[in-house]
Amino acid sequence: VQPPDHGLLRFALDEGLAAVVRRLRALEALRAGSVAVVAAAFVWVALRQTAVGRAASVALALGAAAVVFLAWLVAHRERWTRTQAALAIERATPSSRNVVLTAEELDRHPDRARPFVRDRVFAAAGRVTQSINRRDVVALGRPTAVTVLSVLAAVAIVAITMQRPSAHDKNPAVDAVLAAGAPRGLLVTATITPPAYLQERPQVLENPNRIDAIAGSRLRVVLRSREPWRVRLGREDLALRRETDGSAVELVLGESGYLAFETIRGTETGERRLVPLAVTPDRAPTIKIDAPAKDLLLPDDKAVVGVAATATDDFALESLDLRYTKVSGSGEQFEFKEGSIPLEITRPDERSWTARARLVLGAMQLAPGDSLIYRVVGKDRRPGHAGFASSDTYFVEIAGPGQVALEGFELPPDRERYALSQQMIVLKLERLRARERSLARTALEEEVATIAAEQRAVRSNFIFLTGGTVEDEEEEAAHEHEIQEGRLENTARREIAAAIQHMGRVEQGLAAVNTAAALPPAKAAVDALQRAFGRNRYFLRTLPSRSRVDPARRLTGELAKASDWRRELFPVQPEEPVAAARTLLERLLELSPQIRTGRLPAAAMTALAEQALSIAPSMGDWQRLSQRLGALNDTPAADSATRERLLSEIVAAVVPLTRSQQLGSADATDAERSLRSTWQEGRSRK
Amino acid sequence: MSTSRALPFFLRIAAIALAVIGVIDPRVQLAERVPPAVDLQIVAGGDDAAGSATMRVLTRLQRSLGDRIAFNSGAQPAARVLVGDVSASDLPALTDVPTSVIAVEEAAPPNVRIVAAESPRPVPLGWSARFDATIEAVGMAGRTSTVVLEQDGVTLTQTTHAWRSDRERTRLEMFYAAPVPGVSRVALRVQPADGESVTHDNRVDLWLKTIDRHLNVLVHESRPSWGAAFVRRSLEASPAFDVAAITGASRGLDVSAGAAPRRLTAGSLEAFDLVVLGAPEELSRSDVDALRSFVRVRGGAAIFVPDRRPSGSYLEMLPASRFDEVLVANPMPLRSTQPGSIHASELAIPRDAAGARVIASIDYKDSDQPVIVQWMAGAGRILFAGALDGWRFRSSDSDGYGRFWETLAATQAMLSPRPIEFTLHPAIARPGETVTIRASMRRTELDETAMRTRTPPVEVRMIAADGASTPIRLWPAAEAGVFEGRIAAPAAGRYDVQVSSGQTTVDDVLIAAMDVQHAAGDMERQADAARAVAASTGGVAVAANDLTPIERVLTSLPHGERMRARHPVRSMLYVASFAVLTCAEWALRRRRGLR
Repeated sequence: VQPPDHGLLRFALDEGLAAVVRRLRALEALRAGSVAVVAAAFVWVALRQTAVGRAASVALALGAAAVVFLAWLVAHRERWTRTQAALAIERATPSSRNVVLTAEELDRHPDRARPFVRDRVFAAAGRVTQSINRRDVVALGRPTAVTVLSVLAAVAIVAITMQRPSAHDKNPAVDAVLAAGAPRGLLVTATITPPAYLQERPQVLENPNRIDAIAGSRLRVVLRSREPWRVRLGREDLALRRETDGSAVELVLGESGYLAFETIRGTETGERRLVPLAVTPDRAPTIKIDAPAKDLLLPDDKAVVGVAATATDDFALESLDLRYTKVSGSGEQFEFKEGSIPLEITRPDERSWTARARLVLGAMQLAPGDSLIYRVVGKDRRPGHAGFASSDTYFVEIAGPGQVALEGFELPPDRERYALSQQMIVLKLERLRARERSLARTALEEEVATIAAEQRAVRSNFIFLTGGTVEDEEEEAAHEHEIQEGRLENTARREIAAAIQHMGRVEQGLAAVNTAAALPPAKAAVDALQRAFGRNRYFLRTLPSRSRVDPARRLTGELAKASDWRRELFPVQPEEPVAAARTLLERLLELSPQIRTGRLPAAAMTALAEQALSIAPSMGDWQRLSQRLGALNDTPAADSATRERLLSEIVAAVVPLTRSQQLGSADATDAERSLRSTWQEGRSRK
Repeated sequence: MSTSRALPFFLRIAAIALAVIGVIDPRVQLAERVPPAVDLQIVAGGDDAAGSATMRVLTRLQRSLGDRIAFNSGAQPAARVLVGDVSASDLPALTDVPTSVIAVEEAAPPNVRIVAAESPRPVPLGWSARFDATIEAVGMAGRTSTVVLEQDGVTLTQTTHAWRSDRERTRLEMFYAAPVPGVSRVALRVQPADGESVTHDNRVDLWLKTIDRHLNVLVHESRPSWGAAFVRRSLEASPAFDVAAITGASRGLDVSAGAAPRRLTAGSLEAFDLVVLGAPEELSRSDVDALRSFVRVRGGAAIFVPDRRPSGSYLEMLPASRFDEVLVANPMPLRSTQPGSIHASELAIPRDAAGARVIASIDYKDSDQPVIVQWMAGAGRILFAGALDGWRFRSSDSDGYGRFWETLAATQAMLSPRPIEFTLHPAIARPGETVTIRASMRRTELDETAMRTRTPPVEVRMIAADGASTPIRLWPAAEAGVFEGRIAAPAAGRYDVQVSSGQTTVDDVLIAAMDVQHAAGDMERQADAARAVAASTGGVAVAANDLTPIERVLTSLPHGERMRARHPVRSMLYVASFAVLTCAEWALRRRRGLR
């Protein structure tokens, strides 16, 4: 028999006790964790009932868990000592008869026994600790399971409470409104703040059916609901910001669109509510020169021209100014000088102003042949250059050598723009001659001046006609006066030249207020034109200013290189709103059985409503259609009569928006007419 | 042998003979007289009220003639009686017995019914189909009816009419444009009035076809002409048209777009439905010949858009003898029934234009002067637009000028036939109803010589939704290139009917449905045809409120005879005869003292 190795057994005792201590410590940590998790869950639930925010609640719950965990460990730190380990071993192995406990005590108090006794005890205890299963001494399986269950329970509690609005999410005002029946459990508050330059007060709308605003307005939308919602502007998602009174979004309005409010249920979209957004642009001011409102050709610079102008704006005007450009020189040598003249402005209100000014030509040192080009410019209150506007531009010209100075001519009203003709000049002259004797001298001069102005207009057209050739028809379509000129070009140029000469003589006669001298050349001009074109009437557009041929749009180049031109055609598609309306109508008819019976999912119905609104969000027709589709969606499936009526109303409203054209009616008597025409044709052959 | 001895002998012999015959029990065929058999049929259709009326008629007939007539006895009928909304198609094509018709009585007022409503002509996508309907009301004075056009029960458009008299007919028109190409079934329905008992005649099923066909238009200008140029611009801006254009810009120089032919020939024009001619006075004689062929043979439409006094070769095509040029100081609006507007101050007025259809006119010197006119020429149409400077005032009325020309061009181009045109009548029918198919080939497709005309073969097939194809036989009609055929509408469903000739195939859709309702006018026409057929068979057509004529016809029918097999010996008379003979013979023998 070998003597026991006391050193080895002592080591086994120490190792065994240390291992059990570690397991006891782990056991307490598990217990502390379970308690901490439960405590954190309680804290979280409690905080959800208060006004504390979600992030703060999370932090506080985690803090509470940490405190509880640490407190538990501190409070129970005596539970993982060597003594407790020895006790645990003794409990697990009653056959040891407290030898491990004695060994642990002797280890702490070696003086309580003699060395050989201690060695025996340590050896016996060492053998015991060698033989034990530490998992039996301190079982960790059940505590671990309890801890895991605690964590799962806490996670479940947190998840459930996250789905419900907390006291922080709740608002007494929201509750009141929601209790009063806010549509779809959502209270939308829209605050429209017009641009600062308009100096208007913000407008607050609650659950608006539509939002009207001026371009540049700031829109703040606050959503209050017990459910999470998201907001889109058209197809663009808007980021909601959580605030004390709900979720808010702010944007600056530039163009019309619509806001879509949607509930979020997991990854899917639930309820949807659409609000049209009609944005009206701030229009530039309208400025018009009321006097003299015509170009003037004056004999010298002694005259003073009075200028009167009116300006209107949809909101408010800010400034009005008369600007001019003085053109001096002749031939290819021109000099331009710009300036402005202060206006005497009368402001009945901020939207409508009138202004007056005097053009003292003498002070401007206009020489014969010089011109003054003037216009009135204004601005509304918008910052930057967006609000600038200008009136039409008019000329004042000082007659040059050889020019006939008249009082100027005025652009005729639109309706007469095409009615001027040389024949009409003749007609007017004849009529004037018939009543000439009964007219006062001043009245006669006035009427003669009017006819002279018209004669000048006609003549200037014909002068203009003698040059240029049509190159681009599309471009020409936008410039009818030049089209007319192009059409007459290349034919009977000589006769036209003769007619122009006759017209010049008419002007000379009229300048002398001598209708007898003016009438014969006027008739001669008509005759020349008739010879030129074989027609008896010409429709010409008067020109408010003497036209210049735009070389960029004139055919130039070598005749030998002239060749065919092939114009490219592009397929024509229906206008986008019309095509969209047809698509919507097709969808409605296709889905009508499901819509009538309420079998179409609500999401599909709201998608149709959004499709309708997205076609033209600012147009009332589409807004109403979208709203009706929304109402149809809200109608219970059982109420089939109402659903059918609403659907019919919607379809009947969409049909006109497809903007179809009507064919002409076919004549039922075409067959009979065919026989008659055949009979007549046969007769004519005979 | 004495009489007293002979008589018992004969009686005995007779009794023995009867006994022998009784043992043999012979069968004897005997003729018997029976009442005439009449086949009584109820024609389906109508609503509950009509059904009740029909049953009342049947009851009356049974009561009055039940003992003299054998209704539906199963025997060979001597006559046939149809009761209800009888149409010609309900009658057998060939019948050897008199067939009579009893129409149920008219509905009691108030009643509204659709008398006539035709399916609209096919329209291009984006154009409205026009639904014309004639509606009749009885006992509705002072009340209003709403007429709706609906598809699958969804109202597409509606209109109302206020009735002024107790019996009134009115003509209504409604417009609707389908959003996509294709054929759809729509219904025109008059909403029933309060107290209206018969409602089956308030609805008519119609057929709407929207085609994705682009109308081919050629704009030809021998020289630049602003009148034609702005017409061309209007058409080019519309998705309905495929526009080709050519303008003689100068000698030997052209500006062209699309597939425009450089020279006008009959062949080069065949692809176009419509030709717009600017500066027509510049057309050469060969151009005019080509246009004449295009109009008369191809069936196309040619619109002359001059901008100066008419002159030149093209006048030979116009039936007008002369043109007056009218100049007014201010542009005048032209009066026209078609959409759009057009103004002009310089006009060429055609004179002596017999047979012309006036499309637009002006009031000038207190009379209506034609400005834009249309003549029929062969298979096509010639139009003359006398608004010489209409293009100048094209901005007068929110593009009324463009709409006017688009409408005119589309209307004319749609009337120009495709190589093969065919129609189904009715295109929406009840299963079993007779559907007439009429196919006509354009003259350009025929091989015409001085002596004879050859027509290429035409094939017609009806293809069901499952792909099953049924050939349909067509028969040549009186007119060259026209074929007709009749089929019984198949079972409910949509069928594609294809007509092919050579490389050309056109198709249409036949809709068969059990609940198809035709207009009352159609039914009346059918009833008229039924009456004619009844008269031709020797029957009569009567109203339900007066059955006397039909009773007279039925009672005048000859009684029938029926051969029946008899066994005389099995009758009691025979047995009694045998007993009498034996008893008499025995009594005589007893009298003689014999046993």
